[in-house]
Amino acid sequence: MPKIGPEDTYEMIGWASDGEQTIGSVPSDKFARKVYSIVAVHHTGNTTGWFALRKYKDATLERETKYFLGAFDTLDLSRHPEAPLLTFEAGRDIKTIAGSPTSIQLILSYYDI
Amino acid sequence: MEKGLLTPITELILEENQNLMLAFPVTGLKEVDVYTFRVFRLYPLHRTYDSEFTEIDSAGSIDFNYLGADGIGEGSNILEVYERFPFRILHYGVGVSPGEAWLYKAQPPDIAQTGFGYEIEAPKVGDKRDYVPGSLSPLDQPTRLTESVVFHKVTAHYGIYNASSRKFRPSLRVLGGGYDCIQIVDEDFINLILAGVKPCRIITVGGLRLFTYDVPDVWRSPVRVSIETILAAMRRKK
Repeated sequence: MPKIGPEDTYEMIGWASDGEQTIGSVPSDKFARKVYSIVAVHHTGNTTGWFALRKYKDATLERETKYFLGAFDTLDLSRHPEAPLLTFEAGRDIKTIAGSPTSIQLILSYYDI
Repeated sequence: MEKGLLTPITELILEENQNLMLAFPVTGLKEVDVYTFRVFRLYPLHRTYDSEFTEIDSAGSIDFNYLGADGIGEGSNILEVYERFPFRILHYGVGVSPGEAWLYKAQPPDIAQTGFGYEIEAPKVGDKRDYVPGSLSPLDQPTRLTESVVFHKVTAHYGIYNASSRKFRPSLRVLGGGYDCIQIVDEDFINLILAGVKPCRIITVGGLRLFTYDVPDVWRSPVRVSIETILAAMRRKK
């Protein structure tokens, strides 16, 4: 595997709320997108909220990972780039969703191989 | 840096003015027909395949086919050398991703490319022998394990097997050099190569098993060398 440097890493930035939103798509000429860091900022007070990252192949939901945050909580999940958290294969769309009335800002660090 | 079978193909590609010998068996290891060349011009050979493939299920495969300009088995065969380039030899390795993708080569078709010594048939895609996994010839650094040469009348086909427990879409990288060569026919020079005096990259096409092979019509006759010839050349080296 080639050494991953800062010049090879990028971010998917978006919001998770009660409707699905696409925050990224993996190019078809790449093998996969590797996400090694997830930062989530919960902007909703007085309630516990959740958001999910969904992997779609066209209209097919292939996988969902769900995360829970307390009111005004921040989630910071980081791994070494060579031991990433999530894999999204070529041609997949990456979508977010959150439980109403939750509003969560997301920053996902990734690189494509 | 890895050596031996894991030597990166980029360390094996010849430079201009270096020698290349193609050896074909005549009677096992007693006699061998050799065609010897000097690289006159080198141009990098590079082609990748990724989105041309569809995903392969676990334990699924893509059967032997040519690597085409438009995809696998589609468009012109990129590893076919046309008749108008009789002295062009392609020397390359193939990198594979992911590591659990097994690469099979058929060159020539129906000939077993193997190091084993028992009676063996040409491998079928999925056999647990005579394949190279991506972990041993990575996409970004193909190794000697996938080293091949092709020229007019001889090409190579490839097949892929998914040895993982999940679905994946493989990627391939053909990396090497395209040589324009001049043929060397001086027998003394060739004997010195075989005796290890003159540096040369010796490659067998299809291994040292007996099979019918074909070469471009304009190549001059091969030099047939016997074990006695090689031993005599080695004595001269002393």
